Amino acid sequence: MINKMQSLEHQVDVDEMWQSLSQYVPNNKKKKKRGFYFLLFSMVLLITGGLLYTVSDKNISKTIVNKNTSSTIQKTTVIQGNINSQKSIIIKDDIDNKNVENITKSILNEDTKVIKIKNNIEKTINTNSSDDNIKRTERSKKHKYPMALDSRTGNTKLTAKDKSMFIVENSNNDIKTSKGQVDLSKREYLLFEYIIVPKLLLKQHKRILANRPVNNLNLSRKKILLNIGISLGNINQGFYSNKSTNNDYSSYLDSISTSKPALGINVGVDYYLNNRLFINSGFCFSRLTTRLQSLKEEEVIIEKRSAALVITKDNQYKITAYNYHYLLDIPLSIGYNIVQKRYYNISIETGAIFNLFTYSNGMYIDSKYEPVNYTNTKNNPYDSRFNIGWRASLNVDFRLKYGYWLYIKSGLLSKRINYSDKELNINEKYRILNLNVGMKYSF
Amino acid sequence: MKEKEIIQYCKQGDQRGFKALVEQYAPKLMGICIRYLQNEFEAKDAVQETFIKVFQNIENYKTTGNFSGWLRKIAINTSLVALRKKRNGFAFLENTGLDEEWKYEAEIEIELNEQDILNMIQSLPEHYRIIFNLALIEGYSHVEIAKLLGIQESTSRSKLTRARKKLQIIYLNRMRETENIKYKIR
Repeated sequence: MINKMQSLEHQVDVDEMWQSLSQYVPNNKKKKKRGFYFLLFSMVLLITGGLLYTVSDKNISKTIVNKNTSSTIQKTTVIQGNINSQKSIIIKDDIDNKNVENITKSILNEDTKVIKIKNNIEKTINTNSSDDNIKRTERSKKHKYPMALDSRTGNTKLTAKDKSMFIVENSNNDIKTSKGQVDLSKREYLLFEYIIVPKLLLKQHKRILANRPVNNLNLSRKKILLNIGISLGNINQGFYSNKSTNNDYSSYLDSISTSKPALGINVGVDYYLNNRLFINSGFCFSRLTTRLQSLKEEEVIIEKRSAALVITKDNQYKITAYNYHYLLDIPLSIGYNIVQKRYYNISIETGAIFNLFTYSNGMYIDSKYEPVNYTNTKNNPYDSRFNIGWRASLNVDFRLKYGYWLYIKSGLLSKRINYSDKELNINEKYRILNLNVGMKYSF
Repeated sequence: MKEKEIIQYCKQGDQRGFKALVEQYAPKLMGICIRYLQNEFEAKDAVQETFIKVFQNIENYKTTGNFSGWLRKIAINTSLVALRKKRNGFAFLENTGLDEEWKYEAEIEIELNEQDILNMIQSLPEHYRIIFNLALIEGYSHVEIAKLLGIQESTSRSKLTRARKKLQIIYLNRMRETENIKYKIR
């Protein structure tokens, strides 16, 4: 009789039932959409930031140089050129390009030539080919920072590396060439810097100038970037049992757990090993918020070990509680600049997260499936054992003024929290789709 | 469609999975709900409620579990919730006084069909029917029943005993009416 009742089937109009139920079919695309919107938001943020920066950056070079030099070089009021480019030219008010060319010719013999490249006011002077010039050209290829006008400090001592030459006008209005260092404070006015390129190598040199990478970070001298930022993440929480007998319990926790966005603040450094490869480390303090709650309906069916449990708004099994986990982490990752442009860099980064400390408070479900409030009590099931997670991100850095950078990291983090109840032996894992925004300062 | 496929489709939000779920399990769930709820319309509502809950929670369902068992539990609980709403809780289970003295016990010797058994269970008073279903058909322990319904464990035991006896009487009466039974009176 019992068997018959257990397997009892009763006729029902399935089609009619499906008609009325079809409207309740959940749209599973919501979760996917959440991720899509997150990525869309990141992209919009990146593009908007990029556009804003690009628009505002058009006059940065001029602004920086003007600001720094106008206070120290009274006579030099118009300064053109990009201080971070390979070559820069500073032209006095009363000397136009034609005059520069004439001056150049007067100094560098009859075959000198001034060449404009890509509408920049960068100019290359070429002379007749000679062995000596060829050698200089070879050196110039390796020559990355011919001028060292410090855009941040306004240092007036300009140092030409290698054998680049300066054309300088002194206080007696004498125009001369100069090697090495020029001190503009001694009333010597820099007209422009030149590199001698033989005619034979002119095409090659133009190509080199056109295609050379622009080293925004100036990493040969700025190896360390301090960074500070805040992060917002979408948590995907999971409970994993180390004992197969506890699978029911971990499934149960999964079914009643939801999460809120993760918040974090981080400080750290990027240490560049070379122009592209860097190591990032520092400290990260983050807060993960999860919620145990009955699901949408008034009554929710939850699987228990041997029976069903009804969680209602009214009875003792109601579970609505926030759990807060405060984590102190040390990330250690390695990154690589895949794109280096004048105003932005794009890099990828991956590495480990070492969790030093976890503090939790809130409510948990014990092995008897009873909710237990563990805030400020000894019942806290979480411990702060050392843990290791991982992270991977795609980073975009936008160059701002005075060595500052705006950075945006979009990526995935994985963290783990220990559940110290020996009987349950459960781990909580968090996968966080993370957006980290902040500032970097290079020095 | 196989059970695993149904679950997979449902988890992916595919309508085919949900439709197959309803087609395959609606009669079984109806069989469960109708044991608790006398009225076929109420049972149908409970089955629909069950499916809605399943739709909403299937994403959290772990495929390692017993899917039919999971559905069964949801259906049982939905039926109990419907009863609780109808009766404003299960307090009535505690408040019923002693029933009439039981005089008869019978050994059922005739093979009954499913509909007969169902009719007999449905004719049980509600407070007996619930506990009879939970304890004998579903196999819940008295501790679990007590917790589930918010009643004393002893109440559950006594109700079950009385439900059994009541069922025997119902059975005997029916058999008498049709004169197709063999019974003995102790």
